[in-house]
Amino acid sequence: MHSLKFRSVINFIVSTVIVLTLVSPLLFYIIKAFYTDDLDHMITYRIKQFEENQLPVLSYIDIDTWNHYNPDLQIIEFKEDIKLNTPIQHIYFDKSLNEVIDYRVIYESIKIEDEPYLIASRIPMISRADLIVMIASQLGVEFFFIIIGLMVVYRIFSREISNPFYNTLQTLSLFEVNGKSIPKFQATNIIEYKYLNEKLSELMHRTQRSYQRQKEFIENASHELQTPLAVVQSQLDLLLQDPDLTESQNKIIQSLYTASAQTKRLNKNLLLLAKIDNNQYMTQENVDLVQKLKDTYQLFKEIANSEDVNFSISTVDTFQVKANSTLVDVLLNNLFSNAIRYNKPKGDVRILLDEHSLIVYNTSESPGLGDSSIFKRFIRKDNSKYGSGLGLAIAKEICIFHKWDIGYQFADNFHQFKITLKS
Amino acid sequence: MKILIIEDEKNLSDNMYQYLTNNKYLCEQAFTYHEGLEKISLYDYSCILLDLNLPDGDGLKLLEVIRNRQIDSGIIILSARTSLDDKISGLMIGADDYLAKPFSLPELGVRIYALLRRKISNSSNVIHSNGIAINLLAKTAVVDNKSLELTKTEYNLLVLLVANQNRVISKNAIAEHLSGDMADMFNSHNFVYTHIKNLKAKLAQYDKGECIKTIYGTGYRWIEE
Repeated sequence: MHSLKFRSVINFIVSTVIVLTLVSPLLFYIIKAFYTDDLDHMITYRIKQFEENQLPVLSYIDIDTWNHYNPDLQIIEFKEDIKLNTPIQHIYFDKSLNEVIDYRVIYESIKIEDEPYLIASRIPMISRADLIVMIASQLGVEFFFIIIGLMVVYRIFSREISNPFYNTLQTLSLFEVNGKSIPKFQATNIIEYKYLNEKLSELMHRTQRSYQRQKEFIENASHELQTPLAVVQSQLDLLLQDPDLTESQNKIIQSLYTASAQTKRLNKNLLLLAKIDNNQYMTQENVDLVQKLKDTYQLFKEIANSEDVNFSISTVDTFQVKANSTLVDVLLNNLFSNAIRYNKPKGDVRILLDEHSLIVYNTSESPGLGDSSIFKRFIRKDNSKYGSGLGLAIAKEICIFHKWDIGYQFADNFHQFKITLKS
Repeated sequence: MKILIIEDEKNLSDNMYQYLTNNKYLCEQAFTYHEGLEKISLYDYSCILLDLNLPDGDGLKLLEVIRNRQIDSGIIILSARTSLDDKISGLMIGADDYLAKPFSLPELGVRIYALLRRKISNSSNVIHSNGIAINLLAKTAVVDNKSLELTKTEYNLLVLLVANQNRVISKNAIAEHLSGDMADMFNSHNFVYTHIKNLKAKLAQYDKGECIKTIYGTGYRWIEE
């Protein structure tokens, strides 16, 4: 993963290197061609000069002397098989450098005292290696300045091109589906960004609205279910009064009661989740957690006893926390009832409240529950028919609402749910 | 004692009517806001069961009217609204109790029972059943002048049974009543069974154990002789 800036700079550098590398042979041949052409003009010019100035006064006996002083403009014997008037390339051995060197050479026929001779005009070429080094260093310098230039240009244009983009990204990160409003984008005068921002705003609006509708739907649906549920419940209560009911009919009624209770519970929990999601529990007050624990202790102790589970509480002397009282009740009830429900005969539930956190320990038949998926809605780790599958999801939502941290671990044969209330 | 049921859901209203009428109350039904208003204007009721969501008006408005007219009926709000705010505002302007739908009929029975005792018996808060005297104020029970040592849960259970005397009360209704609004996550029949067993044992010391009759494990009934 790289940032856009890093990526674009790297891409540019790589592509520049590739392009420069690819064009360098071309450059080599072009430079070489021009250079050769220049040299050819030069050697042709020298012959012309020679023919105009020296040749008319040159005599046969001067040839050796001339050749001695003009190594690059030699008068040689006439040969038939030499191509005339066209520059060619030829290799000569250079004694001083002790290496062979490429020369451009041109031969022309001349006459000295009516004897035919050839004049050979030559000039050394730059060596291939030197030429390559030259081109490479030129390209290197160019590359360096291109990069410098790019950076400058990039800085100038980024204000216009990429800053709006990063602004958009940052604004987008402020978006909350559960929020009351959507974040505002900074105005931009670039058409594409303006369009992007408009589309994003629209998308956020729609997402928020559909989330809102979904929450309302759940709340309304749960509300609507309550009256029919009340009818079912009251019908059952009346049916139970019939003195002629047989035992098997009673069994059916009992299973209907159980199903009805489950539906009621599920509906109630859905409604509760919807209400938390809808922020309907806004009021916060100072809650005496120790008192709350004492209030719930008696009831849960009795329930635990009837399930053959040992229930104990240990708390600090006082613990005040700013919270919604109803939600705290729900939280404690959910955690405690889970701890009892999923326990085993002769098992243990221990509640510990220290200066920072509330921990619920419980034994169970099952080993550790593993990952944090237990806090998701409708996740049940066993096939228990009792739970609604929402208890821990609600506990988690309540903790999120109060900005508390809830965690789970399994250690020393105890399932441990820890709520960090104060850091 | 007359009870007015203002509830637009006919089935539910009929069920309440039937359950309560058998319970020695005289019941009348109103299905709309205006019907309710009319009945309240014409007759006196000991207790009014008031649904908040009526087709032609807000139940809370009706409550206001009742209180403004200084009508001295006990009022229990029945509502599908469960939000805490409703509960508070409803009780603030003069309802005596609040029951969120869905509720069980025995629960309604015990609420009405308790409300009527509070409202009417200005002389005494003691109710008698099968020779057991229950003091609703002190929350104690006495048999033959001997105190029946009951836990809070057992006391609540006894009142629930007596208030719904000769009615079968389902285990679910008992569990809900005993564990309260919050802890209803419990399908704990062990819990109910344990408390019934303990209460029965305590009553049995005074030969009253047979007052509680078990109906095929589905429910329990308080036999009033």
